[in-house]
Amino acid sequence: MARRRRHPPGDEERLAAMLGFSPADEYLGLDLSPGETGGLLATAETLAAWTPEPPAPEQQKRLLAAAMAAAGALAAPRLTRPRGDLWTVADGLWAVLDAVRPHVHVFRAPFWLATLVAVAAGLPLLAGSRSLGGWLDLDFAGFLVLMAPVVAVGGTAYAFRSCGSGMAELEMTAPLTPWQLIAGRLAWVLAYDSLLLGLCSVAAAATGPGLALGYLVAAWLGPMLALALADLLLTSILQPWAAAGACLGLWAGAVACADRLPWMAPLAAAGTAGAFGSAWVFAPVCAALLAALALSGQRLAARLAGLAPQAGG
Amino acid sequence: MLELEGISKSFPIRADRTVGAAHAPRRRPVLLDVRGNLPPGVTILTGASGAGKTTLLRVLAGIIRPDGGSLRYEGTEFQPRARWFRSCLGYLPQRVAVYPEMSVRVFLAHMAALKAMPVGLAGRLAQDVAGRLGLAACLDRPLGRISHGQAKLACLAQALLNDPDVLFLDEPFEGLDHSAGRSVAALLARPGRIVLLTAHAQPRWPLPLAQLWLLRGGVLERG
Repeated sequence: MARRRRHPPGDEERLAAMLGFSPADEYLGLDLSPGETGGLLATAETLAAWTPEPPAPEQQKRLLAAAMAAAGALAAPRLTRPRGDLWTVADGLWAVLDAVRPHVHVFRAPFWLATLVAVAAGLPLLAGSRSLGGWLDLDFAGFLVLMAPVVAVGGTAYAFRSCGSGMAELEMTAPLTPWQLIAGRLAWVLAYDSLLLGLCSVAAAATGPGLALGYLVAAWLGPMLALALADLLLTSILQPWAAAGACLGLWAGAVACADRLPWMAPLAAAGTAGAFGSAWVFAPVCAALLAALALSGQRLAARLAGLAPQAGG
Repeated sequence: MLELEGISKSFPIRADRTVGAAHAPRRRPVLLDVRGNLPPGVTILTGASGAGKTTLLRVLAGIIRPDGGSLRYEGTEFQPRARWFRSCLGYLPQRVAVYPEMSVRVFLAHMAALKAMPVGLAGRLAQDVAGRLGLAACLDRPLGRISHGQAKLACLAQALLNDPDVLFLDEPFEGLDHSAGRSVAALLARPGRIVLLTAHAQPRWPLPLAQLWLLRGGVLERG
């Protein structure tokens, strides 16, 4: 049996208390000499008495800035809902709603009404045409294809009507990126127009013999997206309403030449299987326009903020 | 403390096709090397027309990118387009352009939504700020049918809506009457807030003035 060495009285108890052991135990499982116990005790007492120095002013500033950055991010509360483990469709929809919500005030009642009237006016117009001997060679499906780009271009111009003004400059200082601002507003326009034209398509498909809803929607969706994106792209060069005028002129020209342009077949064959294939022509057009928009992002953002390249003062 | 380190900005000059213009400089420098510290309190930025005051405010607010230089907030370098900085920023442009068909109340709600403020809180704060600026009576009137001074106050109200820590105001007192100017001055003063405003003359109302900057030749000269 190992003989326990003699320690200065009280050293063992004090060290055990500092280390949180019972004095009766063989603490740490070591058989310490009196010198080792004294050294360990001195180290423990030094550590216990040590007070960390406060951070230097530079460190304090960095810490404060980091905390304020975090607080700034917290100060921008967003719509939140409990999230599950999986990214569900509902989560995606909620994120989209959260992104478009800030722009709802931009669209006033005249916008909703004007779009509604523009589409609804087609019914009496077509009915009047038939009663007068069919001077307007167009059915309701063709009318929807014709009108879709018009309402989308008008809506886009309306959504960005503040372009080039102090109002846009003000909006650009909000905690949104220019692309969030552009996408949010475009989403309102396209969502409303799609809903309106979709409902009209349902009515047309229900009453028109030989019309398929899917083909009809495909026929007007492509031109609508393409012209809305083209309008946005032109807004980086022209004033919003001038850009809209140019786009509508382009569309009018395309419609006038519909017989000679094979990619305008959807207008003539809206709602039938033939239209579906032709409508796909607009998919690469939309992709090209999106790419062009991405490339002209800086210019478009500057234009939206109302800043000409020569701005100064 | 907001620190400006060597901010520079130049703008392209329209192509000059006259004979002998081939070697003319193609960019016009507006800000050359702007350095300075913005402490809490009001800093008045003054200078001749075209000196670059508005450009400097636009650079600081992240509306235009500088050609060079950096910004530090409490010792940390940052980009003015950063979301956290925009969240604690209030900005007033020089041009008072608004959606004329919007009422003052809807305009403030619109700006609050863009600043991601909760709807209920934004409504209460809008009412409060508008009341303090004397806009309570015209909250429901379209912005196109109120006076220029009232529209300017509405723009000021949106800048103050989120109780920002940093305020950049371009000519905030221009076009305001005495009592409106006094209300604005009273609202700007808040401990710890950094305010940089441009003015052609020192405002007549009491402000917690920290310093006076003079922008001349693209550089800052302290007053």
